[in-house]
Amino acid sequence: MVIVADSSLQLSYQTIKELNIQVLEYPLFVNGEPYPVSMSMSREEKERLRGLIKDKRNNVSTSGLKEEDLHRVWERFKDQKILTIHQSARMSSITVTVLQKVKSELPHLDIELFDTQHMIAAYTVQVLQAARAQREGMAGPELLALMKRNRENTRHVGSVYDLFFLQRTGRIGRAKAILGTAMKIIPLLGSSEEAGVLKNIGKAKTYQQANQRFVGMMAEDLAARKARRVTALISRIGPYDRETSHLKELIEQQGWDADVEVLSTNHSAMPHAGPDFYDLGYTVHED
Amino acid sequence: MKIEAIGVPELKRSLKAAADYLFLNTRVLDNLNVFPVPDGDTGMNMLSTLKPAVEALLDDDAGSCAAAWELLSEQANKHSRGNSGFILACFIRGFSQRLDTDAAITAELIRGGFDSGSYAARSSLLSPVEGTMITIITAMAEAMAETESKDVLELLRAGLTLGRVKIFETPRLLPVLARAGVVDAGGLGFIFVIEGMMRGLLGAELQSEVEEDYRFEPDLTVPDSDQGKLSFRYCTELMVEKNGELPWPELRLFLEQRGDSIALVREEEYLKLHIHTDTPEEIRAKMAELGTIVSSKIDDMEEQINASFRTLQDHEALSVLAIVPGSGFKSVFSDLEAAACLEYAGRLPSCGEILEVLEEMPSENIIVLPNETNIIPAAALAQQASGKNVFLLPTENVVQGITALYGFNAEDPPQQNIRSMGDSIDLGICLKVYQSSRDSRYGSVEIKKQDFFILRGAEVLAVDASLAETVERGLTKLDLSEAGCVSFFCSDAFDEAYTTELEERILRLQDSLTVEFHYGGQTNSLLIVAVE
Repeated sequence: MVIVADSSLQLSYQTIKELNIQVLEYPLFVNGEPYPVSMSMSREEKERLRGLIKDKRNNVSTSGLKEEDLHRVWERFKDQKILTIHQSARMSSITVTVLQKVKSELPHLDIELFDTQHMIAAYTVQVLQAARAQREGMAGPELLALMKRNRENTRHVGSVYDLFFLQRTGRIGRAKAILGTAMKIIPLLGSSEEAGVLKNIGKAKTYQQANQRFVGMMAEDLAARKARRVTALISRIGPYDRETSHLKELIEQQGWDADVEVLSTNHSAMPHAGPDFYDLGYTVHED
Repeated sequence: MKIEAIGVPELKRSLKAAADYLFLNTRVLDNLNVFPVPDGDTGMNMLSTLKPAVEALLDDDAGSCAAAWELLSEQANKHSRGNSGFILACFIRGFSQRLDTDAAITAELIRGGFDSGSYAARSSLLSPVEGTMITIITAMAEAMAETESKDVLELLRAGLTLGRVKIFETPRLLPVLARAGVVDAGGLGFIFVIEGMMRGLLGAELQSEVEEDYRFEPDLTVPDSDQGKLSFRYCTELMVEKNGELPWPELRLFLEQRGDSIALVREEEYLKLHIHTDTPEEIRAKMAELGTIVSSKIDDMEEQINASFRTLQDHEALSVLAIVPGSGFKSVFSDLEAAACLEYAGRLPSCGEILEVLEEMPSENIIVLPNETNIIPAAALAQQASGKNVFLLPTENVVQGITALYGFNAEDPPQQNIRSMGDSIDLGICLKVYQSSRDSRYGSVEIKKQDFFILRGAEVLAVDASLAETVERGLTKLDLSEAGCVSFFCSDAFDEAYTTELEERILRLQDSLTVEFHYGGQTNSLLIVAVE
């Protein structure tokens, strides 16, 4: 079986190679012109792209997956079962439409589409766990059952320092009064009851407060499921090494059985989430 | 059942059913309305256009279908309202032009009428937009053109079938619909009109349409655009009896420079204009140069949009009332989404004053932040006396009030908010700095006249003749390892010359801290310090 994800995946190029995840690339455009992107971009290259996005006069956007890319990747694995894992269908309905269309055009292939119902770090943490389980020999219905369980127990939270981009691309609803205030408040966003839809979960003045809130939510989720084990993935773009290291340490200090990684955000998330954010996706394990 | 020709009685029955079908489903159309502006009136506009025209027809003794349709066209033009009503009236006018003196309407005449109506509707628009009613009318006309049947019902069915397919393609053509997760309301309204006509001919029951059938998951990946946003405020419609030749294309340029959603019907004797503009009076003056204005209507769309959201915002939403010790805190709390602030200076507010503000607030669900220990009893009394759902979160100082609002989300239920706001109260520490006006003793601490002292609650943390020294020594008593920011809220008595030294001293204590100064306007303390 082969696992196929898309370039909104936040894993490092090395991890992607190690886990043999096939990645479908979303094309990226700057002011209507194609911009060269790949999962192997260095941090410096990502920072250059960040600079372009930070200039709000530039219109940086992604477009749907190319049908020919999908054909090419899926056909390459025609002799295997193909598990294609995608971000929330609600937030990426065009992607899902393309996936379903191409799947219907390739009836001879064994393709399973899996909606993680989450985005960015919370999407990635699910792909990561599926790929690890597969590497350890899990397959078929057993793997799908695990993925469904993980999906149920995954939450997404994040600090977004500039809501302009989320608003421009419609990832959040109405404008919040907290934008551009003298108090420099950090909006905190998190997954809502609706799959893939982000909502305001509070505010913070400092990253320490933000991280305490996130860890508090993790503690509540663990307590609610009487669990102690958690897989967490933190992704960041912009100068937020200090913030993300603090979050990782805070999680590790809680005494849980926690597997936490900090990653540098890949390009496809940037036009939507913006050039200044860090987010946390975590899955609580009931075992 | 097969119908090869429609006489006047059947036409009347059919059009009455069309108006009734529209009436039955007006609310569905209003709720789906997002383009050209989301003012929630597509159904009402189409109904206001068709219903009086049909009523006039029912009262008339038209001897032929051509005469009946002519009357319908005249009345629809007279009563047309809004973008959708205007286009519907244009279609009816175009349809009537294909009927000469025909006593009955055949399938052939319906084919021609749709073709002509489609052309009239499209050509009335200065900038036709696909994914709207004109797309649906054109598709239905094309479906009929390809149907060779002489059966009127079969023809209408063919048009409706393709129309109902095409309506679900409108979000692909018009991104604002995809983002909102709806089909085009005007196009759907036109389908309802034809559906009603067919049911009227069949004598079939009219049915309520289900709004959810025309909604789908909003596609938020579609880039936001200005579509569906209010570029111009006033929906302006004018009917003019012409007094001469039309200055074209100068008029077109004039209109395009002053608005959008422009539709213009140019008949031999009259003009009818629909435009969204910010300068309705200028438009009116220009049109008056072209002839006599026989009717006009100006709607404030901003008011219409606000009205459609007001009920939820004002009554159901959860609001916060913050009681603040100075005018500067108003903007701080307002930035944090407090709906109202009760400011006091020196004298603490009474229960009556708090109650008065609670009653003035439009919301029925209010969380009160007293932000001062001594105000909590008065706030509790106001909570009991108010007829509204008032929740009291007993914040003891403004810093607790500020951090409590970090946990506020107006979309969550009150109890969830009380919990998350309560969890946030301890995210900050409040210190207050005073300057003594005379020699005094505070507990066991002696304070000389003009000395500065800093308090945490009732505890004196430091006393000194230097303000910066007092603050620095006070802060050293706190564990700053998890702190990220020190914010000073300054009174009018605070001398801004101190800011540099204060900032330097704090950064010397911990260089990762952020230091901010805001105007607080409080009268009882020199500085309120928030350590977060």
